[in-house]
Amino acid sequence: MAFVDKRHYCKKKLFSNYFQMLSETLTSIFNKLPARSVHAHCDGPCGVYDPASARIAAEAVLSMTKKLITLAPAGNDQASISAYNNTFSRFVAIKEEESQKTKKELLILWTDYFKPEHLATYPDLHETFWKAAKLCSACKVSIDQTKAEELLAAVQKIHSMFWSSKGRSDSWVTAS
Amino acid sequence: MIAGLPQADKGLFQKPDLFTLLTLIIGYRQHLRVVGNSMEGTLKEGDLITYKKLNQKNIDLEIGDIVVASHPKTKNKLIIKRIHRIYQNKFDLRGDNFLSSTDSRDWGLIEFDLIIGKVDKIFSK
Repeated sequence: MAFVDKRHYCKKKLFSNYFQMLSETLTSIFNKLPARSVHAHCDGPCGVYDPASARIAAEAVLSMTKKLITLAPAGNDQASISAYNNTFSRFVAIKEEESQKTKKELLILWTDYFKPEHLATYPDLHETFWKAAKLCSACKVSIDQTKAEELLAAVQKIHSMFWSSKGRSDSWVTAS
Repeated sequence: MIAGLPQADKGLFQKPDLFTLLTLIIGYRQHLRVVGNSMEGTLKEGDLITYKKLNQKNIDLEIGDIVVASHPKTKNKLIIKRIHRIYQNKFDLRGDNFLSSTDSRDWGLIEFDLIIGKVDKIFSK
């Protein structure tokens, strides 16, 4: 009787080992199975958004605006005037480029990251982004330090909204 | 995440088996690998899903079903989303991870013709 029980136990164990081996082999096959990708899609392309890029661009706008306000020719001779014109043009070009960049980065956050669900928590979300985008345009077409400071403040507000929507509270640190 | 769906999804999660492998080999089912995180909560990156192509006998789609569809803006790109609402022959598809999903909220409703199949098995990595 004990001999029969032992045979039965061995058979059972053999089957158990066999099924475990089969299961492991199948899992390995399924994990390595070549397959076409299906996208659980987000435009990020993987949900990577950060208002830091808008902050850097807005800081550059403020910095270039300040430099433009204080810029003056070194003298009245032709060489000084040419140097002044050259530097002034370069500063304006950078200010305009960075203003455009700030607007682009803000629009990405506004249209791609923030969803209708966020409006419940941030009812002034659209107003904030709309005003910030308008400030980008204002900074682009004029040399106005107040507008540039307002733009940086708007980006800071968006920074706070963004990180609180993710349940985090990253501190606002500027590069300049 | 649509309320009550985790229970409904339980039946989809399976362990690899010979029968499924056979149905994949003979082409009765199709399989795809998940990329991205918009279905997180249900599907993770790297998960393998199987689906049956929609045909005349198999067009029964309901709210809550996970479906494979052609991307409405990009050619030859497949997306995987959940049916959030159905309006006649148009579908409101959403990702379960709604804060990080590009879906019908961005593209608008998806035509029935773009839906390729309904997910019937999920094999978690």
